[in-house]
Order: sequence, then C-alpha cells, then structure tokens
Amino acid sequence: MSQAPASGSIPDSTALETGASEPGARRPYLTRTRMAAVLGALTLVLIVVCAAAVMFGSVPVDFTRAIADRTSPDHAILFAARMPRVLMGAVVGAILAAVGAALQALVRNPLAEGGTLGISSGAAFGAILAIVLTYRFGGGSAIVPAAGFAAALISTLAVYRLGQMHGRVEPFTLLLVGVIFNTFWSALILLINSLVNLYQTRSILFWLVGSLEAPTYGEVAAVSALGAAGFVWLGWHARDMNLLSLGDEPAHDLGVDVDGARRAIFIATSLMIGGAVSVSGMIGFVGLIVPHILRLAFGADHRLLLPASFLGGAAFLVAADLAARVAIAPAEIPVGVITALCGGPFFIYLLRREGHRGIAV
Amino acid sequence: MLTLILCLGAARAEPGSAQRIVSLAPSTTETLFAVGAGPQVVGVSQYCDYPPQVLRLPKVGSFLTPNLEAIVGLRPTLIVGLDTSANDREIRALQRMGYRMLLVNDDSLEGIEDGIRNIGVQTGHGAQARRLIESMRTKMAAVRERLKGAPKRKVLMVVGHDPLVAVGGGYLNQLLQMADCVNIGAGFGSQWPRLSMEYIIAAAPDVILDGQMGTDPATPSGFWSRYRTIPAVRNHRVLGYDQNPVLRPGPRVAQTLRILAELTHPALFAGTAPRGGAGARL
Repeated sequence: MSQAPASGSIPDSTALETGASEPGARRPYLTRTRMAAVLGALTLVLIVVCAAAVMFGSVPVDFTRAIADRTSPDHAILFAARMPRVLMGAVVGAILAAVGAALQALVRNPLAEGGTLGISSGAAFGAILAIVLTYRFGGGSAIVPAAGFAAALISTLAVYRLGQMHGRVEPFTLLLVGVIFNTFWSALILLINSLVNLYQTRSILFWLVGSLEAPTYGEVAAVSALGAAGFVWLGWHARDMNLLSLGDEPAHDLGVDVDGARRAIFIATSLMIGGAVSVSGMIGFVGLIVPHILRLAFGADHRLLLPASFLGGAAFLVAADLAARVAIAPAEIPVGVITALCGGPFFIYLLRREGHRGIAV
Repeated sequence: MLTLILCLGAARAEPGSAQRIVSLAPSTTETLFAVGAGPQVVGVSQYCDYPPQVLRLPKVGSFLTPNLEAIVGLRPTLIVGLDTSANDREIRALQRMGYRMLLVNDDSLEGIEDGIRNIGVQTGHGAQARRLIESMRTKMAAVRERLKGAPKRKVLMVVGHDPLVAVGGGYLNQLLQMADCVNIGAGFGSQWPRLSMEYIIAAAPDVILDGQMGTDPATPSGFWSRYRTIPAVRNHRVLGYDQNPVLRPGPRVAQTLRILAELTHPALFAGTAPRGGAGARL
C-alpha cells in the first residue's frame, strides 16, 4: 500500500488482491482505463451472445417477416417466445453471478452462493408450496413467484439470525447454517413431492432443476427491477466487500461498519435471489463459477468483480440457454443441466491451471 | 409379447377366488376391477382412485416407491404392476422373496390389451378379460365410424404447460391418430417430449389440449393468450381435459378416445351426450 497508485487510478486502500502474495502474481491496480476496458469487453460479449440467442432457436425465423407482419408466427416466435426468454436469461444470470460474488466476499468462502446459503432452496420451497396450495384451493398465477420471493426473504433472515454468535456474525457459522438450511428446505420439498399427485411432481421437478421456459415481459420487468435495485445496493458496498475479504478485524480497523455492511449485503442478495428463483427455479452453478472465473481473469477487487460478474453471468446464462434450446430442438434440455455440464469441467480446468491463487476471495 | 410374466414360486397359489392381489399402479387396479377381480384386490397404490371403492383399500405406497412391508403384510398371492418398474429395487426384492408377480406394459394400446388379457388369465377371469377387450374395440370402432371423412386436425396435447410436457408417443399418441389428429409432439423419439414454445408457435396447432386447465382455470388464459398467432389460441380451441381417465392407460382408453375425438372434432359429436372430459375453454 506504500506504492503510489498510478495516476488516474481509483484511490482505495484495498487495491491489493488478497490471494496475490507472490510478487509475480500481482495484478495491475484497478484503474479507470482497466475497468472501462474489462467492462466494455464483457458488455461486447454480452451483446454478441444475446444477438446470437435472438438469431438462433429451435425453429428458423424470417426476421423481415417477423418485423413487418405482426400477425405472423415469425413475429410471435421472436417477440412472444424468444425475446422474453433471452432477456430473462440475461437478468437471472446477472443476478445469480453478482450475488455469488457478493456472498463469497461476505462469508469469505469460495463455496458461498445463493444455493449453498439456503436462499435458493428456500425460494423454491415457497414456490412449490404455493403450486400445491393453488392446485388445491385455487388462486392466481402470481401467487407462486410471490411465495418464492417471500420464502427467500424469510430463509435469508433466519440464516442471518442463526449465523450470529454472541451478537456477531461468524462467516463460518453463517455458511454452515446456510448449508443446513439448504438441506432442510430440500427435505421439505421432497416431503411435499411425496404427498402430492403424480402430475404435480413434474412441476416440482421443474423448480428443482430450473428453467427459463416461457416467461412473460411482466416477469422480466419485475425481476429486472429487483436485480437493478439490488445491484446498485451491492455496488454501494463493493469497497466494504474488499475489506471484508481481509477479515472482520482488519475491515473494522479500516473503518467498515462490519455488521451493518454484512446485513445490507445479505438483504440485497436475498431480494435479488428471491426474484430470480421465483421465476426460473434453482439454476445451479452460475453463482459459483462465473465469479470465480472472472476473479481468476481480472482479480478480486469487487468494484470491478461485481459489475463484471453481472455482465458475465448474463452472457453465460444466455449462452447456456441457447444451447438448451437448440441442442435437441424442438425438444428442450433444462438450462440447469447445461450450466452444470459446461461450467463444471471448465471451472476445474481453470482451477488446475491457475492453482489456488485466483480462488481466494 | 409385451407383457412380462414372472411366475416365481408359482406353486404358492392357484388362480381363483382365494387370491389376494396387490396392485401397484392406477391402471392395473382399474383393469383388475374391470375384469371382475376387484373382490380379490387387498391393496392398491396411493395414486389409485378408480373405481371409487379402491379408496377404501389399504395403500401400499406409489408405484415409484412401493412399500415392501405394507405389501408383505397383506399376504398377497399375486402382485400386479408395470413392467417399467421391473428393475426397481422393491420389485426385485419381492421377486427374491418368491412372490408371484405380473408386470404388464402400458406404453401402447397393444400393451394395454395384452395386460388386460394376462391379468384376466392370471386371476381366473380370462373370459371377462376377453369380453372387456371386445367391448373396448367395439366402442373405439364406433368413434372411428363417426369420424369417417373428418378433416385432420393438427393437435398439441400437453400434460401441463408448467413445464411444457407434451404427448409424443405411447397409447395417447395412438389414440390421437385414431381420432384423426396430427400430433405435433410425435416423431421426436420421446414419449413425453418437452417442446419449446418456439416450435409450438411454428407448428401452429389447430387444437391445444392442456391437462393443467382442468385443475387451474386461472392460469391457462394468461399462459396461452400471449401466443395469439397459434390458430388454437386465436380460435378459442385451447381445451382442458380430465387427467382421470385420459392419463390412465387402462380399460378406459375407449372412453379417452371418445373424449379426444369430441374435443378435436366437436361438430361431429354435436347433439350427442358428452361423455365428460370437456373442460374449461380459453
């Protein structure tokens, strides 16, 4: 920290990367130019991926006809089926990855994400309970996402409360409590699954695997609003995340309201995850691998990592969903299967190549 | 051929009224009662609900997870189930214990008929089973007769739209073909394909049969009305059907054919008493 930062760099005492202890591994300081370059490149990738996802699908589309004739099937395929799905993929992917990056910093553990902290499965439980109850007693279709969202919040608050020891949040305890909640919710989901009729078990599986099938523009708008609000809130705390990665004591000494920042990050992430899971189910792996890959590539400064995860997660899930749509067209593969199949091996490859250096949060 | 008969320890019981039968699937339960073996049935799966008197019988778990202890406790002389579960741990355990088992196929109309015939023979009701098959064939021929010269309808039949699981093969695909329908879900090598919305819009079905509508009248209009270019949506031909009997591959398939024919060719059945199944319309 004694070196003078290059001119034009963002002044921040945490420009150090926690994992980069050996001199050769030190990455350049986060300068405005570098930030703009990385985020610009990722934005470009996202635009290219989205363009490809709109161009290709399970059936070919005549684009001139789609735009000229509003009553044509081409128009419906493009604007009623494909576009909302691409948009939803982008929003959900962005949320999952950004939340993963934030939670990994929050609990200082590379395994943290919405799934391992029990937030996603809480949301899925709420949604599934609502499916079963509306099946039995009736009710509008908006109840299901609303219940998923409410359950995500409740689950997060419970994990947060129970993760505290003597009034202070213990990251390790928090992660353990989250893992146990995840198991607990999953058990409740399987309990419901064994009590309902055969036809409903299909809907339940749908939530467990995760899918971007047939979203409405209304849902896209609602989740986007939640995602944007949560993302701004997280961005506000990016600096705190850098310091929290060092440990509670150093962070406190460097002027962070540790508990306050942690609470804010936790609530923001649960809002975002609740929204995402309530419409797309539990899509795994995005929150885990995207932040890690970007951390390996661009370092662990959250002022860059958060927006990079946001863009990278969006591109990754849109690309995975494109594969899910075209691989065995006109049938579909659940997108969660693709994210795990492609993401897992690639992640291991990066891990083996880079060693543990880049994984440290 | 399609029916797998596993007579292990066959000496334990001879066919007849002294049998104690456990049925592991809704369709085999229906067949047992339809061939007249109902009084011998001592246990059924938790999903069995037809005919109504089975609701009072002891439950032995689902056909996905049969409860061994409950089954053994009923001292069955014959256990009837589906051949798709032949490799299940519980089924193999029951075979090892020496129970006489009859596992039937219900993937096709031929399999269903074979199953009825075998269940009849194995329970000592062979003659009733033959008469049942005859009457099913007569009923189906009557529906075919009424459909003569009917225009082909392009049909999408889904179990539900959340997720979109369609009928691709099996007895329902056969019934749709018999009902003069072109099934847009067929031909993809899967009995229950998950079709993409894009393909459904492009295939432009004349009629959509959605099994989720019967139970959830609020959702479907919201779900399908987004896709107005689909003729079925535009012309208010998105129809619900009752999953019971339609999704039951048993002796009520003739009734199911009648339901499918009425839903897809309503003009040809106008004036006749509906046999049920026509659910809510969009």
